[in-house]
Amino acid sequence: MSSNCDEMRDQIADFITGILPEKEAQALQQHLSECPACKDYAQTLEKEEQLLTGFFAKFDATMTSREDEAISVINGFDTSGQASVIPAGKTILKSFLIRHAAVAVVIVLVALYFVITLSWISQINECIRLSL
Amino acid sequence: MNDFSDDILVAASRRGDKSAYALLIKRHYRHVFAVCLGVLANVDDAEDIAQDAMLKGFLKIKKLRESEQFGQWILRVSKNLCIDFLRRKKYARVFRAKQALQRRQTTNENHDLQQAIGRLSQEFRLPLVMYYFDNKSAKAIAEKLKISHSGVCQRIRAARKQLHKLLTEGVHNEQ
Repeated sequence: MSSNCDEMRDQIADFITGILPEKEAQALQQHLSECPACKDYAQTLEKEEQLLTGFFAKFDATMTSREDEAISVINGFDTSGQASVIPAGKTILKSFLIRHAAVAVVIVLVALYFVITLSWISQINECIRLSL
Repeated sequence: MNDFSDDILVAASRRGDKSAYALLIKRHYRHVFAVCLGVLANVDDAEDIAQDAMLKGFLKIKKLRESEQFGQWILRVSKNLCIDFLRRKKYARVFRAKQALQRRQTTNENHDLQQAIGRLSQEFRLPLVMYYFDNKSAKAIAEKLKISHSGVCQRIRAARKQLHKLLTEGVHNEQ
């Protein structure tokens, strides 16, 4: 095994997996015909490749039933209830009049808060003034 | 209806047409399942999450802006669901602990291909699983995962070499 072989290992993996460009594949095959160590490595990877391909091919046989199961989940799902699930707050505030009335109520409450606070302050001031 | 493009089927699905969505499932379920298996490394979990992803896709299809991008969108949905699943169940931690235990107790099972695939890091396992599910097209995976073609090839190569190491490790341990 030469130092060149180490560099070839990546190419062998790519070649067996099927991602090595055609040009490089030809040069690699030349090396494989001359190097028994790399040829052995390639043969081992080839066996693993067959195992891998077989392993994933098993899923092909059951894929249609898996798809059908997913379709039955969708068909069994009741989507009619989806539209009705709108938060109560959003439904009420949809009306133009109610939305404006809600804003008006908030403004009145804020104004009342200020009036009450101011009257309290003036009463406290009055008490302080009388006590003095 | 089988010949309709994704965007037509998506438009019909948006109106609640379940038969149109069934065709989208027929077209994309395989890739969704591959992503789930690639991330989770467990067939049963992958099947559950793939079904959840297809259901979520149907319920959220109105949010999909570009109908022709359904394929990539549903893969994103499924990948996110897998990540949520791993996070929620703290699956990764339990899984790693289980693997470590298995490595110590049953070295003779190391040669088992499924276990070896499960022991690959997720970064390498996902493109590898998708590659074998996608008729060995690195280009198609690059588009789906939105990474470069050379990036996909690098990860597949790394996965393949790591897998070889794990499988031969098992054989040597047996001897």
